[in-house]
Amino acid sequence: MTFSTSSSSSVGARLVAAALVALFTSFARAGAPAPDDLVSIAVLAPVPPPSGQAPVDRIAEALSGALAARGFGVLPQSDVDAVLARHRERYTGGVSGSMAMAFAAESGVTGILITSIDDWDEAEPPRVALTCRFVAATADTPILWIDTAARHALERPGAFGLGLGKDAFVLLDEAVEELADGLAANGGALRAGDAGARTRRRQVERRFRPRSMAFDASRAVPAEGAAKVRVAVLPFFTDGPDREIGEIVALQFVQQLTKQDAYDVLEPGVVRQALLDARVIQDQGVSLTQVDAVRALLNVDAVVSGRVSEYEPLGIDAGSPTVAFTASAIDARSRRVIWASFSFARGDDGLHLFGTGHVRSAVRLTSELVRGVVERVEELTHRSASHAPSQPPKEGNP
Amino acid sequence: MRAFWTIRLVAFAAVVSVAGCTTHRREEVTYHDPGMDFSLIQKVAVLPFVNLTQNPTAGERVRDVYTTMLQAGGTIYVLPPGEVARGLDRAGVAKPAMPTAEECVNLGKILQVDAVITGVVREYGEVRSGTAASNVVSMSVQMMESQSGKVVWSASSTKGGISAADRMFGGGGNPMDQVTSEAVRDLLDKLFK
Repeated sequence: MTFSTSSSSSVGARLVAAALVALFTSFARAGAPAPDDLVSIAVLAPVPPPSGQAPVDRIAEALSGALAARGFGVLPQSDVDAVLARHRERYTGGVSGSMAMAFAAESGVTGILITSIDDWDEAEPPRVALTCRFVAATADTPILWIDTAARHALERPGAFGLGLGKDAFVLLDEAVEELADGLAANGGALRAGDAGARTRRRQVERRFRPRSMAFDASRAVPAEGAAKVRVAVLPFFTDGPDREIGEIVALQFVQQLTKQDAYDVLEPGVVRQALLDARVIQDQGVSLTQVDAVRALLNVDAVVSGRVSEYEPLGIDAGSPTVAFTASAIDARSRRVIWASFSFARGDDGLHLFGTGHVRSAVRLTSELVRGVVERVEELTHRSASHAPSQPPKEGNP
Repeated sequence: MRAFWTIRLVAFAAVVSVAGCTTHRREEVTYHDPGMDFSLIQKVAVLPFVNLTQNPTAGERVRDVYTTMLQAGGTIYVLPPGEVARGLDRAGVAKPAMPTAEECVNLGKILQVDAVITGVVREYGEVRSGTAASNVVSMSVQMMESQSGKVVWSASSTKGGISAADRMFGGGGNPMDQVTSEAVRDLLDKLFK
């Protein structure tokens, strides 16, 4: 009797265990994609920033590991290097159409992940900022996903300040996880080769809106039913020796414009290649002949560029960065400025109750300011489109 | 009688000392050519500003803000700085920040602008007084009509600096970019008034 009781309980336990295993297996199948559904990615090692000693290899490894853990098929780094070596390509800060095609043909990847190290400092207070973009491995290299993760040791103090005191590598891991989660959340859309649905974002705060804005409604508002505005963002000029600051701001414009449905933003690697081919040297701003050259090579509708007049990652107080820039868009057909803006802010501008809302990272501050400009352009475009059916003026008219 | 004169002397001394304590705000000079119809000016080129400060980039920074804010007014179209640089090269202007009247006319033809704007940044940076510190910008701008090379408008502005409240209560003043935009706004108000 005792035996029979024990035997029946054992069978029951086995049945429960089997049911649990079956349940977990079904969950695991739902979470990890089948081999046919894998998005295969070539992760390019980021370009080391000239001003810092960022651990480039570690960042690439961390990104590869995080993406592999989320079910992406990540091309081994040796294979990525082999493709780059075969095509004698050293630049990994962007990808041209021919290079994207080479990756697709030789390694079978569906996309390329390009990473920019926007900020890296291990000294007190440590800070990290990465911007990643997923570019389809096709000739036209569309940007399917782009995002920035910025971390600062003094932000997110938590209860009793327990969240403070993180070193740069802990911040790096957090940033990598955030980016990998963001990319994984768009996995379905990436498999289909599109950018997926745009998530509705909160409106930018008043303190990050442009201080001054010029807008030419007669040219900036596209005709009804017109295709997306094809935009090339050129590197911004900087007054100081840190040329990469201009690229950080330009990349933020690429990100914020990409997130708007109205724009088709060109991959910066394609723009760079076109500027090199046309031997365009930007020393004092974009001239109209340069706009003509970019239009001829890339068939763009607008060229966005500007100047960064102030970029202080540390600011006066530790963790109160200052950023200031002007930006403008030139219509490539009429060769006229369609909008221009001037933005600046400090991280501690307009703080909320108990000092909340303090932006510690200069990259995050830049991102907010750029978002403020792009949102303002969108707002003025919609307002103008809804108020008056504008006829495009004749070329050359002031 | 003696007491009367003493009182008058004390009162006079008090008036003089109070007048000495008050800051004398210098009048900024604005010139508008009375014979000029400013509504005809629709397209301008802003040339590089003369930089008289110790900050090597002050001229370009102020010019950049001025260009954007002038365009934001909506009545005047401003050529992109790169196009202006190309025009200066083509016109062979010896001193791009200080063109002669002939050079201005030539530049106007090349760039097809109605006027050329030049400027001077006299002060740009931090000023200190005791424990107080603040940012200050001082600049002047002039507009030359491109048909004749004549100066049709000229104005100057100074913004920022240490106020009496800063001296008394401390404070670091406004950020440089804010002071710059205040000075530029002041100049644009003077142009369009």
